[in-house]
Formats: sequence, C-alpha cells, structure tokens
Amino acid sequence: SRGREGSDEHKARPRVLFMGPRSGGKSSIRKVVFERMAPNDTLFIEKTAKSTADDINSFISIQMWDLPGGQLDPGAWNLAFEDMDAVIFVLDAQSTFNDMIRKLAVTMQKAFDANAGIQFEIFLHKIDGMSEDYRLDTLQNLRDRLTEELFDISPDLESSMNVFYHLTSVFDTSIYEALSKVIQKLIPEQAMLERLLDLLCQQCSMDKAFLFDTSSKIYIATDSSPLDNQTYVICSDYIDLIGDFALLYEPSPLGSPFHSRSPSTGSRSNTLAPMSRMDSSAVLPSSPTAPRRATSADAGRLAKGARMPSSKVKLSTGATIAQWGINNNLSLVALLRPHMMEQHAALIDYNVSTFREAVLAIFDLHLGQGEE
Amino acid sequence: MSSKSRKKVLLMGKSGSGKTSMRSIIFRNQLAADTRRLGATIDVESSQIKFLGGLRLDLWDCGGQDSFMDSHLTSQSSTIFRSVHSLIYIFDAESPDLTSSDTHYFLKCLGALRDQNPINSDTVVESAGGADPAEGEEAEGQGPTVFILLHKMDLVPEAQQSSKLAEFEADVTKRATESGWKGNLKFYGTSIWNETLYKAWSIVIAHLMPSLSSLRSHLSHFLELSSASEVVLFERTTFLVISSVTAPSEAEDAEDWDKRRFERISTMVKAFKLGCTRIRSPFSSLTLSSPNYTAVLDTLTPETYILVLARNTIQPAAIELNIRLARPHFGKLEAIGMSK
Ligand SMILES: Nc1nc2c(ncn2[C@@H]2O[C@H](COP(=O)(O)OP(=O)(O)OP(=O)(O)O)[C@@H](O)[C@H]2O)c(=O)[nH]1
Ligand SMILES: Nc1nc2c(ncn2[C@@H]2O[C@H](COP(=O)(O)OP(=O)(O)O)[C@@H](O)[C@H]2O)c(=O)[nH]1
Ligand SMILES: [Mg+2]
Repeated sequence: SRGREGSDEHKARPRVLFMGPRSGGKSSIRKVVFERMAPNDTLFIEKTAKSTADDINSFISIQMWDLPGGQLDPGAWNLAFEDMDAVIFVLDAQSTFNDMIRKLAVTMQKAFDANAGIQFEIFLHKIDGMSEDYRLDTLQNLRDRLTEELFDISPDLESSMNVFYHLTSVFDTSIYEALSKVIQKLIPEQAMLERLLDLLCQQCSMDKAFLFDTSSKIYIATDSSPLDNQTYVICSDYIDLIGDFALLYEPSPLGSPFHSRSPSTGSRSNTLAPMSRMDSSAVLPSSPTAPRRATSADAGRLAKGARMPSSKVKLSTGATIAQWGINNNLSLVALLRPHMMEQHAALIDYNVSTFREAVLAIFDLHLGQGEE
Repeated sequence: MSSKSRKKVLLMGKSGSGKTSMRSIIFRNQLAADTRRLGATIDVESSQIKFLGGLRLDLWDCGGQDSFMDSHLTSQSSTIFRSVHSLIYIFDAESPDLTSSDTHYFLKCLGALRDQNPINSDTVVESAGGADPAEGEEAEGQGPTVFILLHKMDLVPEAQQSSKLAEFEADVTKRATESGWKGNLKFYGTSIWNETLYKAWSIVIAHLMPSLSSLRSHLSHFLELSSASEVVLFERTTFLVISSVTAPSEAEDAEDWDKRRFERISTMVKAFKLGCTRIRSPFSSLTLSSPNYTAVLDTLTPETYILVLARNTIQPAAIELNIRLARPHFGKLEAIGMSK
C-alpha cells in the first residue's frame, strides 16, 4: 500500500523506482546518495526485506523493489509502474548477470504495458576496480543481450521504449552523475532552468553553475557549457564541506534521523540544519508527509526576506567556488573566474537573487497547475 | 638547535597496527584509502617536521615486525630510546594478541624508555606554563610522555568501542604500574577513517608546543575585539588544532555545538584542500554565512589558519578585515614568542 500524497506533490517530485536482483547495490545507492553513508559502510547493510518506504528528504521521491526470483504479481507491479516516471534497474557488473537479462526484459515489458511513457535506466553497477575497456565491453554485452531479448518478446517493443545505460559505482561520483542525468529528464522545467543558468553565467563571469538538490548532491540542472568531471567533483565536495560544517554549530535539528551517525562515516546527515530553521515557505514540499501549497506571496517573502545561507571558497588562483541557498531543497553552486567575486560582489548578489526569484517562480507556477 | 625546540617522538607498535598510515595522513596529506598500499616499514624511518615558531618534530616511525622490535629493544636500544620527548604506542584494536604479546612488547618499550631517560630532578625543571589543563602539559619535566592509541576502532562495533577502550586502559595501566612504570599514560581510541585520529594528534602536538598559553591569551583578545563566538587556530600543513577560545558568553549555547567539531573541521577541510590541490587550484580561504552564524577560515600566519565564528549578524567582510588586521601581530608572535 503505497501512499500517494496529493497530486501536486506527485507532480513536483520526480518518482523513480529502483529494481534489480538482490545484492545488486540498490540499498547501497540509496544509503550513499540520499542518506550520506560512507561507501565503505555499505558492506554492513543488512539484508532486510526491501520496503517501499519513501522518507527521503529530497527533491526526488524513490522506491525500491527486489526483482522477484519466481512468480511475478502483475497486479502489484502494474500499480507501481503506473505511478513512476522512471525505473532504474541496478545490475551488478561484477556478477554473472546473464540469467537476469531475460527476467529484466519481461519486467520491462510489463512496465511498458502499464505505462508507455516510463523511462528505463539501466545501471551497470559496481564498476569500481574494473578497467575502462572491460567496463565498456561488459556494457556492450549487456546492451546487445537485452536488445535481443526485448526484440524476441516483440519487435516493436524495443524500438518504442526509452532505454538508457549508465556505468555506476558508489565509490566515486559516477552514481551521482548517472542519477543527475536520470532526474534531469524528468523535470519539465529543465530547459528553462538551463537557460536561466546560461544567463547567470554570462552576467557573472561564471565558468560553470549547477542547481543542486542539496541533500543528495544530484544536480537538477546546469548551464549548457561542457561539463568537466573535475568541476563536478570539486563542486560536490564543496557541498559536502559546507553541509558538514553547517551541522557543527547548530543544535541537532528535530526530525533528522541521520544526525547521530556512527563515527565511521565520513560524511554528513541528510538534513540541512540551517535551512530547517528558516521560515518554512519552501515552494517545493520539503517532506513527502507534509505537502505544502506555496503561494506566490510565500515565494516573494522567501526571496527577499530571510537571509539565505551562502558561502564561498577562494582558491589561490583567484577563482572562487560559491554557493547560495535557493530554498530548502535546492542550492546554486558556481565556479567564478578569478577576482570576479571581490570586484563585483554586489552585482553578483543582485543577479543571484534575481535568479532565485525566477527559479522559485518556475516551480510555483508548476505547483499551481498541479493543484487544479 | 636547543633541545627545547627539537623534540624526538617515537611511533611504535606491532607491524600492521597503522603507524605509517597515521603518519602519512597527518604529515603527508595522504588519503586514508591510499594507506592500503603501504608496505611494512623497514627498521626506522625518521622524518623531520617543521612546526610553527621554529619547533621541530623528529618523528621516528619504528618498523614493528618482530625482528625489528627485538633489535629496537636490544642492540639499538640506546639510539632509539635516548632523549625521547614522547612515545606514541599504537595497538591494533582487532589484534588477537592485544592483551598478551602486544602488551608484552609495550611493557618492554616502557622499560627501555625508563632506562634511557633517567629522571633527573635537577635538569628537568621546565615551566609548563599555565596551558589549557584539558590538554595537559603537567607531565613536562617528568620524563617522556606516553600516548597509547587503541587504533582501527572503526573495526570495533560502535556500541563496544568505549567499553573496549576502558577495559584496555585499566588492564594496561595496571600492568605498567606493576612493571614499575611511574609516569603518565594517556589513552585514545583512533581510526584513520574518522576524526578521532585528528583529536588524538592535536593533543600530542599541543603537548609538544611551549608557550601555548600566551598564544591563547592573544587569541582571546582577538575574539573580544572581533565580537566573535569562537576562534580556532590550525597548523597549516597538518591542519591539526593548535588552540581555541570560546567566548564566555556562549558557554551555555556551546553545550549544543558538536563536541568533536574541531577535529571534524580538521578532517573535512583537509579532505577538501586535497581536492583543490588535485585541480591545481590550492585552497585559500572559506567564508560561510547562514541565518544563524558567519564563519571565516583564512590564513593567519605563514604557518597557521584561523577560523573565526560569529553568531550575531556580523558581515563576513568585517571578519575578513579583522583577520587581515591581526596578521602582522600574530606574525610577530610566531617569530619570537612561540619558541622561547
Ligand atoms: N580498518 C582500519 N585499517 C587501518 C587503520 N589504520 C591503518 N589501517 C590499515 O592497516 C594496514 C597496515 O598499516 P601500516 O601503517 O603499514 O602499519 P605499520 O604499523 O606502519 O606497520 P610496520 O611498518 O610493519 O610496523 C594498512 O593496510 C592500513 O590501510 C584504521 O584505522 N582502520
Ligand atoms: N564494489 C562495489 N560494491 C558495491 C557497490 N555498491 C554496492 N556494493 C556492495 O554490494 C553489496 C550489496 O548491496 P545492497 O545495497 O545490499 O544490494 P541490494 O540488495 O540491491 O539492495 C554490498 O556488500 C555493497 O557493499 C559499488 O558501487 N561497488
Ligand atoms: Mg610502517
């Protein structure tokens, strides 16, 4: 029984379903990306019956299912697929997944029948420790086999499905980048956001700008300039740093289940403490259990009133990495050219606040439509 | 170079206990994960580390394989154990021989330490200065200080960590006393995978530094002038905490702040700095403002970073300016004051 809270919320939060064989790495991905577990600690994840609990304090809503070994229960499956925007299949690249492929194809067909618009994302996971060539060979093999199986089921099935492939690992940024690409396809406002970011980069001499889902380090949009992996890595490291820092001088916020984590994890909790204290006029619902309808009055107040968190790191080259809170879930992170930040601080602040208002307006509009 | 500004520190413990790993993380900016590639240390690797105020650390990483241990304790004994300022002894928390052969070797090292550094009450009257009592300099002048690290605590289930350390401390203290050891033994649980490593090493370094108290009073003054809530001073390369002051008016609220915040800052800033180095744009400074506070982390002197945290609505630029103004003053302190 999956609760579905209000249609506005369904609209606002992209819904994805994680599926795959046991031990493929689904729980690990969830823990590492959304609950900030250290990748090494995933070894100790208990093999519990996977629930579909959706308690992620993030821009994205996710559910997880183990791909069942024997009988499928079409009733249950169809129901799940109908509500989903995307299904992510997590396959363990280090195991022999050949037997899985047939099952995968069957499941994909069921999903497609239930929801023809559904997006299929195949994660060939645990690619850490594999050579580049071997990764690509394994991926090619998987792609060929799966295409074949789908074709066998029905020749036009394969051609009408949206299937995308990703190489992922929780030990590096590949999992964040893959999830970012998945999520970006699900956000209708993505093109608009990209245009806004392009404009901002141009006005403020930014080399690169990301709109991040703050708690998961997934970026929901970036400007259209080419993305260099190093830039993403340093910006996401930066989000970690300030997120970790934010927790040190705040009394532990209520409702932050991950706050008391074991000392062996090298990263931080899922909740951004400083923001949780603000006037909760978030335009995007911050919690699935408490959907909130934002009004344009709310958005205006947030944009102009409260002091949103912001921060910057100066590098010895003179360049700056800067971050601005947009609302409870989102932050803008940008790489600025040398000395821009010192010389044009006021201009940059002004442009960023204009950008913030525009982003909030975009999502406000969206919510408004959802409420009909 | 006077013996006061040059301090010999021994790093000992069984092979594989993690000595070289610690050393490379703290002093050579290595990543914890890269320590898996370390080979066993042959004999002794000594390294000189320059700290602020002309202080030099002579760190002796003593290979821990049995044959080396035996030679450290016999033929090499006088070379190794003579004029030691501190001994850092590492135990592998997961070792099956923790309370048998591991402790046995440790007691032998204590014996050698005592034999080579006889306490002579005439020569060792060295003022400990009113250093932060929590960081304990009371052992100064009492012969070498011994720090015991129960290491790889990450492998011990979290619920058992504190009881394991307490039991171990009680057991080793009892046996050291029985063997005739009269000095202090300081115990810490550590792991290269979290901030406990920085906690323990900050204490070791604070212990090595003379005139920390005068530095603290200058920091207090700076705290007042800039109406900050807390200032923390970090050593530049290791990012270990050298000193910190919290405003008395914040004492109550500070109870709610993260108790391990200093070592956490060391750990996370150092990790981020490494990332910056990888893109060939070394880290220079950090400024943060949230609805509840403003924080600035910036260079104070060529060998230190300062973190200034203010909880009122101070503009970051005001803190940045204050740090800039304080630089010449602290620069002079570092040059003359620290090593006297
Ligand atoms: N789990 C865990 N492993 C650690 C820790 N510290 C070190 N190790 C691992 O322990 C192994 C041995 O570490 P070394 O630093 O080479 O040991 P050593 O004490 O220098 O050994 P010798 O040079 O032979 O005396 C390495 O593979 C490290 O990665 C820790 O805190 N936790
Ligand atoms: N090498 C490697 N191991 C991984 C990765 N992700 C997960 N694992 C390991 O795979 C095992 C099973 O993961 P789990 O998340 O429980 O799988 P689930 O059953 O699909 O939820 C765990 O031991 C993880 O440590 C990865 O990216 N690389
Ligand atoms: Mg070694």
